[in-house]
Amino acid sequence: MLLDSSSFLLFFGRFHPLIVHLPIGFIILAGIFELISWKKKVDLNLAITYGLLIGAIFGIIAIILGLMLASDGGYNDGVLNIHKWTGISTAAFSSIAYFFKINFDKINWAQKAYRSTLILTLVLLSVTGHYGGNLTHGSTYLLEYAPNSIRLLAGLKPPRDRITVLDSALVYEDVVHYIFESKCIVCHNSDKAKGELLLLDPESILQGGENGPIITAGDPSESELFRRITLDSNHDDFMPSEGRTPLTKEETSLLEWWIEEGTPFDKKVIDLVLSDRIKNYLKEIGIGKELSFLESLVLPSVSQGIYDSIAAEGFRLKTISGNSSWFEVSYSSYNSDELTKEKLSILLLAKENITWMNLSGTSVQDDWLSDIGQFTNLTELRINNTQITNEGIKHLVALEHLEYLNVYATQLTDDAAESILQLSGLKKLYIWQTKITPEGAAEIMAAAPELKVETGI
Amino acid sequence: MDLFNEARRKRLEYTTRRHFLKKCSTGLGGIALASLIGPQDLFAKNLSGNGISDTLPHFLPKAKRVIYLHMAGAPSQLELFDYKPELEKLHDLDCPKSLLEGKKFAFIQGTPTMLGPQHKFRQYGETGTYISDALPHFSSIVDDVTIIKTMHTDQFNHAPAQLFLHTGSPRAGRPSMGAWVTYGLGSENENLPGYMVLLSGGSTPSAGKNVWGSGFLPSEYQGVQCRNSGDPILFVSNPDGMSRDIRRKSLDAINAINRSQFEEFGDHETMSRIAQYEMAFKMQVSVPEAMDTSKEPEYIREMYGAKPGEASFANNCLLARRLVEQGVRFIQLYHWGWDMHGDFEAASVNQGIKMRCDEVDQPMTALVKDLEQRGLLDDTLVVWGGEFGRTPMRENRGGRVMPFYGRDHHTEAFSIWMAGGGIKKGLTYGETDEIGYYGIRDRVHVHDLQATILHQLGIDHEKFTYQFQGRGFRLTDVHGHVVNDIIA
Repeated sequence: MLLDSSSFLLFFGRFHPLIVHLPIGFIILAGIFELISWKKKVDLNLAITYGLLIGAIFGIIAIILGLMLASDGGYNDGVLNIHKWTGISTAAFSSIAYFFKINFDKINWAQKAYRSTLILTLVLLSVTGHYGGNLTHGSTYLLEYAPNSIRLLAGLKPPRDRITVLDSALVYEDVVHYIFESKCIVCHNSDKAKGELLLLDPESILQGGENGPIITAGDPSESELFRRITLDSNHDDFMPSEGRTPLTKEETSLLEWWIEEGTPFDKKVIDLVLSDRIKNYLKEIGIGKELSFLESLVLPSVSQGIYDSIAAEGFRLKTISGNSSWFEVSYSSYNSDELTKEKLSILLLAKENITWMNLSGTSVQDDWLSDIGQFTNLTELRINNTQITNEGIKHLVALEHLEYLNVYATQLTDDAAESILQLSGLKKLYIWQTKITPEGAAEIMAAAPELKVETGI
Repeated sequence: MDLFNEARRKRLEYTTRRHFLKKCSTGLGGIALASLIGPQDLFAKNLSGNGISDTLPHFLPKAKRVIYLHMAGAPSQLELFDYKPELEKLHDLDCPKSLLEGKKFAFIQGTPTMLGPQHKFRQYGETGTYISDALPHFSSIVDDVTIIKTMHTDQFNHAPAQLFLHTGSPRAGRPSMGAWVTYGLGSENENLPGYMVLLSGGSTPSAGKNVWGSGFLPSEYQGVQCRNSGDPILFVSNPDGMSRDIRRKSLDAINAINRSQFEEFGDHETMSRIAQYEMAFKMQVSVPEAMDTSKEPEYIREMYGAKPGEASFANNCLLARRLVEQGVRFIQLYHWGWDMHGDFEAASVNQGIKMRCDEVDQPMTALVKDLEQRGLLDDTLVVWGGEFGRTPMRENRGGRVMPFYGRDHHTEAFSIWMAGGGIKKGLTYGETDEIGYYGIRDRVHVHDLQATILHQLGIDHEKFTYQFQGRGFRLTDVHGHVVNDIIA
């Protein structure tokens, strides 16, 4: 099959980015060598001559390929023009510099003109490169993550702080635009409107691209945008194209939801129909994520010395996750020594950091729990299969963040309810094989309807 | 002071901090760059150590351990979880050509007939979940589990499919899920292996012991297989005339030799061997105790239907709970005989599947309930499932009519359930088409399941890699997405 002329042009045109860095390298190298030979008084003239020559030759090839690439369209004309003409000038001045260099001794004024020509070439090269980068990545790419002071200097607005609270997040600004920005805008921006489509603001989105509108409000299946992102990734029309990262399942579903809801641009997320599923997907892109008490807890780490002295008493102390300072601690029934009050008190060295404690099956006594009552950040406590009674539980009432309490197979009775109900943060309570009666358990459940009480079979 | 030393001293005096800054600025830049590139990749680390500077889990885990109940042979989803009344109406009709074109089957040839569900379904629980009559016990816990109906896999034969499910690759040689998990998280109890394997039924899975192997990970992370009768672990008890003291002394001597060997050659397998000997020594005490189900009260054994000494799934479920209590990280149970092609009665989807269900239904239900009442289901993830599913068509091996009702291997849709470990309660996830042939909504690939299991343990499956043969390997290879929808 013969290639038609436009794909023929594009086939070669796409080699432009591949070739274009060669002249850049050669010409800059020539500049650096010139600097070195001037500073260190060494003769690098031959290398400089070749650098300029090869730079000019590849520059011309890059120009030809670049013109082929530009024939596809989809680029901002203004930026493209600057890039084109500075590029051509760079190659031209590089050739001139080469000419002066080889005629250094033959023509009188070549010596004078050479240096300024080379400097001009290097300046042009930088300008060309910058605009080329803008064409590919968009003009905001370079300074996207720059500090605000630099952004202001460059005349850019400081980025809007994204709202991540579910109740106040805006559906377009914080969800749709956020997704477009991370996956689509790199090609659909004012410098590089591929398919004549811009996804920058509500107006440009509603305007659509070269094939007309891209969104049918209320009907994802009739919306070109949704069709393109849900095609098989090998399909010609699949977006994002050119092997860029596809949208995740969550992002795709959120766009589908936005279109189904009639593509609102100024509404809040909570003004739309919000299923649990959509809420979960919003969490995936950072909206409405609620940190648990544990996750919001920022603590200084435990020193190695404290860690070692706790481990020396036979405890197993471990960070709950690799980069956190939350610790879980347990005492194994395989330890040759039984747990004692003295051993337990060593844990107080890390009382803020220990958030999960497992003393199940140990010899822990009621009065030892007064120590445990000081572990203010404790969220999980297992003292099941022990001799604990109501007296012991009384020591725990200050643990306001305790969410999980396992006291199965202990001596607790119905009177423990008073202490248990003072644990305001408690979510799960395990009281199987205690002396708490079904009526007692029912009373706890009635007094704390949010608390899950497990009484066993 | 002689002239030479004086000269040297003078020279050193001329070297000032200024020299350091001038000469070493590139080096300082290099050090700064190294920390930018990622220092974690520059230095060797021991992932499973119990030290203070562990890097795993990557984030707050919901589950600390896993019990994986694998039904080798692949149970029929159409008789157990995926209720398809439409298929009932199509019973005995020829399968339309459109369903067969371009499909690969293990045995079906020509045009098979459709096969309706062979068990009655009823709705259970507050969620009104349809469950087969073959699982009378399980139906009581539907509100506590998540059932995924749209599992799918790449492999349609048992051995590769089992390998795929357990190791993420259909070919032998990769580490199993349990090995990855214990390698990453270590054991919660240094007296027991972190990864234990309990078999019940007639044989090991078709894929052999590879499904609990350690692959290229250090071999101490492979699953330790336990026997149902006699010594739970072969050769772990001392022979006659060998006391525990003598054993200790001989181990010390062997370890000393091994250590000097390691210092000379630096082979990490030598260290694995030392760790294994030490573990075996500890297990002489810990294993018989942990494995002794006769210590359980009668009503607990009745709840599971467990009889001590029997090689039954019920016993193994009870054992799994005991091991979980002791902090074993990953427990893999295998049950056998689910490959129901219809070639004999025990391999039929009407009578045969009932026989298998009778063996697993009560124990697996009891396991979930027992973990819950002990407060362990909260951080123990239980997973139940086979390696693939079965066809809505009746098998017609060699074009003939099989003596009993059977179904062929099927990769596109099968059902599993998960409970505990931060998984939603009372959820049915995914939807298959009207005959249960293909998932049409929320499909979950085997790699997605693996990614999700690791996620519940606080592990990012994309970051959890092991360098081998020049590249980083993962359990999920280059695939897998966490199924966030089923996470509570």
